[in-house]
Amino acid sequence: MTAGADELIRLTAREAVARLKRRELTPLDLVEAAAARIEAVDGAVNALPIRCFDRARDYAKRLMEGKGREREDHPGWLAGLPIAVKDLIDVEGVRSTFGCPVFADRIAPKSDPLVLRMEERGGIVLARSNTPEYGSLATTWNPIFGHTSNPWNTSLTCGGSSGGAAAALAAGEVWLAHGTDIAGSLRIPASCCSIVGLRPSFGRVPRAISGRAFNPLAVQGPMARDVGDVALFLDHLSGYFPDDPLTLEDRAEPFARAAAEPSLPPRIAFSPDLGFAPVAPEVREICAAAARRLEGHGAVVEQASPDMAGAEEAFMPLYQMSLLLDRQEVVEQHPGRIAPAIVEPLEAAKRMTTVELAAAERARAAIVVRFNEFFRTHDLLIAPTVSVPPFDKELRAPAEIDGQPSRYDFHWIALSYAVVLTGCPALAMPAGFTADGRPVGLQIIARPRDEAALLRAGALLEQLTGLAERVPIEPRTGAAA
Amino acid sequence: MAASAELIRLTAREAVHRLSKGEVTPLELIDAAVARIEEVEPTVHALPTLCVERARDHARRLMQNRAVLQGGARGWLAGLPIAIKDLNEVAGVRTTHGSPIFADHVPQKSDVVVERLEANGGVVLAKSNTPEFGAGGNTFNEVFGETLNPWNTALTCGGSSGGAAVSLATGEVWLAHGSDHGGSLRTPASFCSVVGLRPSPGRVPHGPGAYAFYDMSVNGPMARNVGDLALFLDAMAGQVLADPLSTPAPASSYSELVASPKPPKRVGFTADFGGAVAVEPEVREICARAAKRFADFGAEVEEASPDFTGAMDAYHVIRAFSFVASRWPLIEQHRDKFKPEIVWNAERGLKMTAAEFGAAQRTRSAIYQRMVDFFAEYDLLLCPAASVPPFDVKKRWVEEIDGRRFDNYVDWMSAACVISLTSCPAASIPCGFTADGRPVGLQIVAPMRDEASLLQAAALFEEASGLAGQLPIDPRPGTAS
Repeated sequence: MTAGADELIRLTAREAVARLKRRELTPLDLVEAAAARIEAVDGAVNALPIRCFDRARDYAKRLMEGKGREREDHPGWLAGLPIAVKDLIDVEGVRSTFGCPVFADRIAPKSDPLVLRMEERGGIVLARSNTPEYGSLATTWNPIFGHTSNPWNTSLTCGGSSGGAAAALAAGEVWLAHGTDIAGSLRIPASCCSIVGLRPSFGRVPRAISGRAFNPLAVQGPMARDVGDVALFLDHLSGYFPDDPLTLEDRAEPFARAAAEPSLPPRIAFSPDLGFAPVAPEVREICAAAARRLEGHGAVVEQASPDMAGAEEAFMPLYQMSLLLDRQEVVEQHPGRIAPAIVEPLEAAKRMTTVELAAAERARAAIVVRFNEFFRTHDLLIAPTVSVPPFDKELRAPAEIDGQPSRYDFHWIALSYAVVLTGCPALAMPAGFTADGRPVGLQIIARPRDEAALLRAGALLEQLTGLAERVPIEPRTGAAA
Repeated sequence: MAASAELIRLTAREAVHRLSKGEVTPLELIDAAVARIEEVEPTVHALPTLCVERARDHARRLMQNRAVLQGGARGWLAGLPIAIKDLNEVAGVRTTHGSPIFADHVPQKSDVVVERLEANGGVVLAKSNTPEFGAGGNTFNEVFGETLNPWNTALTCGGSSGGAAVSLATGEVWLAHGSDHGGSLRTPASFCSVVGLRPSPGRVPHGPGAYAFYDMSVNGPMARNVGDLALFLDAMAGQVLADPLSTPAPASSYSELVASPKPPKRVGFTADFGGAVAVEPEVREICARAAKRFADFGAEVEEASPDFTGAMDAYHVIRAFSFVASRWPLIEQHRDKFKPEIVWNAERGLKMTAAEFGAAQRTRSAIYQRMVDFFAEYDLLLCPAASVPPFDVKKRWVEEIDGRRFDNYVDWMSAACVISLTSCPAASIPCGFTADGRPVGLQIVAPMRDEASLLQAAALFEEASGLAGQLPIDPRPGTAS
């Protein structure tokens, strides 16, 4: 081994892959370095409760024997980099629970197609990241594994639902972590843990066939410690895959190239609240200050927002309906054993009339029209990712937002789920820290399919804030108040 | 200048070539088309609304700049007159949707597909007739009456892009735009012996509609031959802001791919969709003979079908919901001005629960998975485009096929609807005539987003079939029995 484990875990994914490609490192070196780090710090954060180190060692050895390298020329080739896969999709031979006690001891019989893709493209599954049951909370707790804690302050929530992924990245347990996003689950934990999460356009990253194959709400996507790494991981995950009917064709240019060219389009809008969400003053200020840094770098930053009226009325019925599509079977097969966070919206969907569902679809279409009109006069939109900094991990949601009582569990993530309605890609990244040291994130939103614009702008903002330098960290204890 | 009778016989590709070379002007083609329209329109009623002066203005603008006219970019139409279906708005031109509610409607703004075609040098000359709001497979409405089949004017031309198909078959235009929910690009193509392609969702932008994320209703090209179809798809394909499902144009142009077609290796043919769809015996035989022709260019042809069990029930539920989402507010307001089939369809949607809609979505996903499995073995699926040859124009819809009776206006189009349910791209290509001279089309279905393979196979089949080059025709009188 050429470098100490501590040095290895601090490498960017890009650098680690470059060294793997140059054979300066072996996949096994990185598996061992990450395994050692997980053993050292995961006790404090509980981000990666399921580990498959021996399976990972086998994959590493296979690659080192020259096997499984058919896709070596792919731009997203990871050359044997260990990664974490969220516990919502199956990894063959590995415990795969969905965070649901019914499946606490389930061993997946075969891998999800996206996992197969990762493994074909040189990714090594090292661990499963913690998630709330079926990803249905914006924080990360489930009855099997309990809480995942925020490494910046282990009394606080890491956000959710890809909370294990975000905490693992911030704590240096892995270089890249897979996540999913139906209401903000790639972005909320990115904001809470001061790392980077990208919600791609529908069809960019394939989904396995499911009950809602044609329903454009949920996506999968990359999480990483900086923008360049998230771009590499997006190259790794994305591409034509006809099992997903929403699949997009391959892009001619790798996303990594966009991230390597930090630059801004001319017209940037910043909104502290997208005109509809309650947002804590400190979050507004931190995000505004970060957005202002972009001025003078080839762009005008103007305070402006598309009209998001009706976002809550559109999103909640569509979200409830998606739970009905996905989870009706498991809820009916295991009465009383599935969390209320799933059962309650699902029951609401059952009571819904088609007129109500149709009204939600029309409200969504109206938002899309207004959003796209906005993109005729602006090239990017920047807003906070969530309304408050991370709060007590024992809570499902903050009690209040900007002095007002929180009306529902997803109230504090309204800025995240509103973007889901539009189909636009969004890059969540660090914006700063509150006075008491809690991470605050912002999201950059681009026109549909234009992840490249996000990566170029995100890379520049990251240079200006320097916040990516702060991770990985040693998990820190602290108070929740 | 060539005689107008010669000009109307040109392929669209040849016409565009001559326009680009300056050998003919857009104004001359408009005059040729108008002369032909005056000749045949009184018999067939395909293009009830003309916008000749608007077309001439557009033509003159194009002719002001020689360099622009020469174009050369992919999908450039160089001033070719085209027809737009009367469901799509054209700024300043009467757009009725085939409905008395919109009988005098003159929109201020064009639909995005119209904007795109005009930007690509298409000159809108006319609006083509459609059933009320495109609902139904026989083209008649309260505003303009019936469009007649030029092969036998006692017969229906199919629908809902019936005016488009007839305008092509009779040589009124070279290219005609259409749209398809349950076969509206394919049924009229089959009935009039022209080609119509239902693209993958998002391939051709449209809208913005009230139900923006609905993938089953698509716009697409119709033409007299496959090469022209590919050109027209190039002119339409691409991403626009207003349509959140729209995707960037593919890397290679369809026109180029079709010019040097690659044959499929292995195709599956089914005459009756594995028993799921009733098909008239003569249509089955004609399509079976046509499918065998694929062997002429080296493809292995096997009898095989995905399992479409449950497809039509799911299609009905999803279709009914789309009527609630897209039309219900208008129906509530003007109930007496809708045809009974539309009211029936929307009421069916109102009576459903969201849970039934969810169950249909799950069935749809399962059938899509069966399509994916089928395409793992076969490059293409071949099947009838319509279950019957064109029928008496006075019949609103077909009540019985091969002993199976239907209680609604949709079921006779099941051959097209079950393919719509999968959202895979599908085309109807002329494949023969019944003993009494009525056209029959072969449906070619390809994997998601693979219009390229579809068009290439269609071009090879067209050549092998010996049916190319028979258009345009003069309308022929006949009897319906």
